Amino acid sequence: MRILQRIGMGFGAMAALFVPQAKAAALHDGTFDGGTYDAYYGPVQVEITVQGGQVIDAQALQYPGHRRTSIAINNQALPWLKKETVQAQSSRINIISGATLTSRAYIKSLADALKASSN
Amino acid sequence: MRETRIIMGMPITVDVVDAGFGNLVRDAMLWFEAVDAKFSTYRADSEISRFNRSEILEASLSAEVQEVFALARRTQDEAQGFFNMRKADATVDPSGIVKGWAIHKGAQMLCDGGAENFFVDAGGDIQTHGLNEDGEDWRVGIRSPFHLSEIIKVVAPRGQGMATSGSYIRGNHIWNPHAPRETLSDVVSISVLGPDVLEADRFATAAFAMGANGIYFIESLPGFEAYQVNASGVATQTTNFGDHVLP
Repeated sequence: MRILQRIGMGFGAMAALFVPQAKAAALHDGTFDGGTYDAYYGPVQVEITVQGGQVIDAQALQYPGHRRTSIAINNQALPWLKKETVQAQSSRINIISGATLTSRAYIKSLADALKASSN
Repeated sequence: MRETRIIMGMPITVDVVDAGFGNLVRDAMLWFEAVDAKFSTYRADSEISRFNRSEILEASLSAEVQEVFALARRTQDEAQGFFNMRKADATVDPSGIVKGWAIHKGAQMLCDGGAENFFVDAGGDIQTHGLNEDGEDWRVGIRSPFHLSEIIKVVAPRGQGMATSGSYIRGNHIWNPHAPRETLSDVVSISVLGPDVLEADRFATAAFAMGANGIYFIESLPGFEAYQVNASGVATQTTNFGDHVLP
């Protein structure tokens, strides 16, 4: 049984895609912000921290949420649904389902931030 | 044969357990690249970009784009307006529906080519078919919205599609771009099982936009189940979700 090791393949993987190219450009230490891009559900903006010429952190300053308008669902007579506190599972898995953490807006903003750090 | 590529800005994996389907896996990857070329709002030469610049009339759009537009309109009706591909600036961005549609079509392509046991995963939205390489149900882990290296539930879709919609969490705060100083206190993710990945994806997106009511919306849909997690780490599940949970 293969156990996929793709957890965390989101921001980390995207940062890794860009970091090798950026290293050649000699990054200056400090904190750099990328531009803000539209990712349909809202704006995305990335901030990187460079230390010793290497990117040590990449954070999303802005990330899309979802539109909220009035709720049309009738709140009367809602069914009772089972609730539980989420707990980490240790059993093996084949695939992971999660919110997509990667987007082109993120990559564009990250590329900006890297460019800013090498200017 | 398993292959992962970054297409449409996300990792896409096609894994066929049966031997001898290498060409089919590559064809599926080419399909996703073709979808990206046609639908990307990030490519100036895509059909969607040209449509948004009014260089193509709606009646002249390709059959694929018309199909996706029709699906987007149907989703808008079925999801009580909680889905809209038309943006505030009047341009169209069907990205919210293209992913599920592309996975669904890619999986159909694998079936038509004779593959029995496989999965297609695009950015965490999944279509499984048949069994895994140990001859058991495919085991899908729902990622914790709080700790990305943790799994909080293991689910067997058993041929159904699965999609998760959620927010990104920084520390203990969920970022709300519409009210940057506020911390949201409600739903952080909802994972939906549906008849296929296209249906699961359409309704996961809409249910997440509904906030705490999303789980009741899914409960009201025949053939759908869901697991919804709120910011305090409490999960609510639909009545028959437990039938899909694996130990």
